[in-house]
Amino acid sequence: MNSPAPINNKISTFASITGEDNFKLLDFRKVKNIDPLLSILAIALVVIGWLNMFSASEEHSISYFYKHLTIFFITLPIVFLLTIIDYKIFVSISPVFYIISIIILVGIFGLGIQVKGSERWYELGALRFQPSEINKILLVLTLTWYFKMVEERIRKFWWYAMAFVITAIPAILILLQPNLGTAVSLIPIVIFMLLIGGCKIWHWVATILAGFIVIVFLYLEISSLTPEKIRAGEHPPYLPLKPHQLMRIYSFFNPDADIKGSGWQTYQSKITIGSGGIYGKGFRKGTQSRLNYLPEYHTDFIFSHFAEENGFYKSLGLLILYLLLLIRMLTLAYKATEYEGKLLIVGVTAIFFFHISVNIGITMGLLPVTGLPLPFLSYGRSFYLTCMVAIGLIFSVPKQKAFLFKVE
Amino acid sequence: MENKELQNEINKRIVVLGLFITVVILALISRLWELQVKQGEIYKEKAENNKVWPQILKAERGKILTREGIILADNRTSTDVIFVPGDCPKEKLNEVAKTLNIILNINPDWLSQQVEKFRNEPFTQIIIKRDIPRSDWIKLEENIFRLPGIYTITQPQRRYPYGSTAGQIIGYINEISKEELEINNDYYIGDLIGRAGVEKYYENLLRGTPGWMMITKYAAGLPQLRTDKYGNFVLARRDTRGHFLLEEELYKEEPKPGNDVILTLDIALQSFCENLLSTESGAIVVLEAETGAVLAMASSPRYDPNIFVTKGKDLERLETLKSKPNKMANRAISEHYPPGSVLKIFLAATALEKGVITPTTTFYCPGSFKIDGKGREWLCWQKHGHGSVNVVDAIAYSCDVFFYNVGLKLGIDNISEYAKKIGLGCYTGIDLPIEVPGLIPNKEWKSKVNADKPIWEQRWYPGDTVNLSIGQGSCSTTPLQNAVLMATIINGGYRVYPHVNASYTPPISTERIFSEKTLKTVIQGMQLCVEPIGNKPAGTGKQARVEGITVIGKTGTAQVVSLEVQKKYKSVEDMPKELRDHAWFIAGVIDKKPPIAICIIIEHGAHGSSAAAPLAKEIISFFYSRDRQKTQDSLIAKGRNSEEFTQR
Repeated sequence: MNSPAPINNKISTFASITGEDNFKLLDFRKVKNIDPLLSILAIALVVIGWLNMFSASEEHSISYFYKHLTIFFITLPIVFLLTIIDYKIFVSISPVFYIISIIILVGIFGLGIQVKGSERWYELGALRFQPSEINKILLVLTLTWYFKMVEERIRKFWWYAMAFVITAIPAILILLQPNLGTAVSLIPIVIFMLLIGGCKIWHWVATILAGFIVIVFLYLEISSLTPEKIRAGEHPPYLPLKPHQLMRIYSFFNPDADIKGSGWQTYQSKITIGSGGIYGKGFRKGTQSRLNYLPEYHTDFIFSHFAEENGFYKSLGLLILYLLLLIRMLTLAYKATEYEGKLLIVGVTAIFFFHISVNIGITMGLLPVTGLPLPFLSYGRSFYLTCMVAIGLIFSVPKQKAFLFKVE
Repeated sequence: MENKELQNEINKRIVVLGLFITVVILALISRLWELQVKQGEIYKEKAENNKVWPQILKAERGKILTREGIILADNRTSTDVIFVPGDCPKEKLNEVAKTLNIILNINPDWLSQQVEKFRNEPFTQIIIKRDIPRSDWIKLEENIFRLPGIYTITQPQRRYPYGSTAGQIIGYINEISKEELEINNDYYIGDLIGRAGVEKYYENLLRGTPGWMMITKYAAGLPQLRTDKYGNFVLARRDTRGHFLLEEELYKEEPKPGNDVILTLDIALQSFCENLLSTESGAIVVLEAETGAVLAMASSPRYDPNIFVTKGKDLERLETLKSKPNKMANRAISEHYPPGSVLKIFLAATALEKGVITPTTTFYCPGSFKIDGKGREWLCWQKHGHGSVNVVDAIAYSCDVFFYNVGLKLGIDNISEYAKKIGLGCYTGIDLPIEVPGLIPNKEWKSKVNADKPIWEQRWYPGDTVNLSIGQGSCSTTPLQNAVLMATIINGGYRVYPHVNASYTPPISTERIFSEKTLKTVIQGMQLCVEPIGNKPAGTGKQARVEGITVIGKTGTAQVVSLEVQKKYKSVEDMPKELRDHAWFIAGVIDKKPPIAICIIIEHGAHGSSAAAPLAKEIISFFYSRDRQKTQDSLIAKGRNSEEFTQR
């Protein structure tokens, strides 16, 4: 990227959308937009997710399987709905929702309920919801709106930095809930989208380097602590983490420090994956998960369960399937005809990429433990909804026709 | 998108992102390969270790019996009542609590508190009451249909039917401590281990081999063991958190019960000896002279080992452990005393054997003795002197001056050589724990203990030999060693290895320590000590005489305080009890089968002749009479009806 390129002013803003003649809120012809390859890949993962969830659910926990099965069919119409709605309408109104979501996140400290030091909930009668899940998609939309609005000014530092402020406000609020995993998952969204948004490369590289230095600094800082100090809450005040969160990070760097406590999950997860060997233990024959040695095996550690029962070749296949899914998404971004469309697709790709790589990295002991679900495999209905919404948004973006179907 | 340049730039960046994503996924794949292919076998083993769990099955401890088959220690069935909240529907909890209150007097609130406490592990077996009486057990079984969640577990409980009889020999068991667990690899938490006596010494024999079975084990929850109505172990179907458990029948090893230990003790004689000592503290040892088998080993005061194995006897336990004089010590082997005149037997036999004196050698006793006629004066107990005495008279009348001379002539080296041969002042090797060696001093010993003192204090002087000759000074022996000495005298001069285990085969010693000729003279002296021969009056042990039985014996007095202190008091009766001398008597029977050797010590009994000798008479007449059989029969009956048997 050598010279600043002026961005085409004709690209629609909210005002111009409504003024355009060809704007349609609903356009059923857009069903054609549904990408067959992405659909096949996603459905393959959905089916693997069902089989794996059935295997992970025993007689007394079979409801996990049924709920996992039904959530797909409940969310499937949403994919179609999003496909036929013009995505730009969501982009245009996203600042309003962004501000509402911030109010909700602040309000939860007063009105929400908290159980055992975990994330806060809103409780509306029988309905409970965690508002932070929605922020992932909302951030993608808001940033798309922002980049569209600032256009080439993004090359100036303050406008560049503003994108981080937009990300940081919900991220910090979510971190304080406390929900480390969701808070961190917002960072790759802005990193990926800035690159596509047309920022200066050296800004971007400098940010990555700065982030890397901060991580190294924190690593050294945490390594100097002892488990006793952490449990007593005697850690530097600039680490806004709960003792149990810090302990997880600490035990990641010192796996032997607390093998029965926070190191237990990683240790058992590695055993679970490793003991699967090349051929696996067989469908519904995983001992580690069935005997409860593997924690959270319906949710965060579902990949370990899969690897234990299916072995190396099938796990390799699953990873390649995920890789193909991500590549296909980026290909669609490549082919997208609109600036906002590219931004949107890369944004949701960032969500998928982060969840896939970090979740599997945690199960294999490469990253410290934090609660992040795996797309289509993990039990967890709000994240499933996020994934389906993301797919729907991708379908909604107009693209050049693929070579195979090129008719013009 | 009219601006092609921008679009190209963005598309380039998308490709970069695609490459980045590919690299990350490839990194994950390589990690997957490392875990599953490269280290797969290691992790498989770890998973296998997670999966199965060896559940230990305790073995039943062996019994302790006498040669007649009388049970001295065995196991009865102890029944504990347990409650599994997970098996009891909530609405029935109140009814169960009410019924339990009636049958077992359990506070209903306590039960509901326990249920609340184990809320997260509802299949934990909560022990409601340990060791319930049989009557309660029957009542419980009758009502069991109304008590869901209530089970009984039976397990063996050690009992000692004769209580304190031979308590110190049998010993007791209790739970192994954490420190011991670290040392002993083959013990588990809650295992019982022998603490004293035979229970301790033959721990490995009695204990048996624990069995185990492999079961599936969940990460959360512990497996629970129960027993069926025959007392066999079964695994509860669910673990503490309610997971169903599977026994892996493939790996099951039944526990092997421990071996029985048969003792040489004669329980009737033991009980008789203990009764003789009931008011005194002291010890009696009776050995079979030919084999060294311990027929009785009484030590007073004594304790009841049942208090250590029965629950709820903490007070008695504490009182026993702190008691003074110490009830826990087996005085026959764990205490040593100056042997006093008893040692003269040993000295006489050694001198005769070495040829230092002959049966006709005489020394003149004027009532006192000086080495080479000068220096310190040693007294004979008979102030007026015994006149001219030979070895037989010297033994019978316990002439000190005779043995001062003999000791000097023998020399310390001969004395210590023979002491070692016969087993005085060293471990006899009896199969009981906490034996003390006592001491027969010699030159090396003296230079070693006085190593930090001037050289003249380290040297051995003739005066030390003189002191040793009548069993005073630094020398000390245990009652068992004196009994061993006695047994050697009457069995023809062979070394005796005392033992309590009947299946113990002592090392065969063909070497005679003393010749028949020597022993004949010594026995003659000891016989004269007890009964008059010809015109000679009986010696110091005349109170031990038994009609119709040839008893030989020797008295002894072990000084507790020096003569200077003793002189402050006009007579023994004026002295405080704790300052009085210990009274010894060793006795033997040679013309009856089996010949026995007896050693008696009465602590602070003042005179061997009056305090100890009469007891020997009673023991001998009891042992060779029909009373023994009668007592044995009544004891067996008593054992069967004892509290320990009938209550449960």
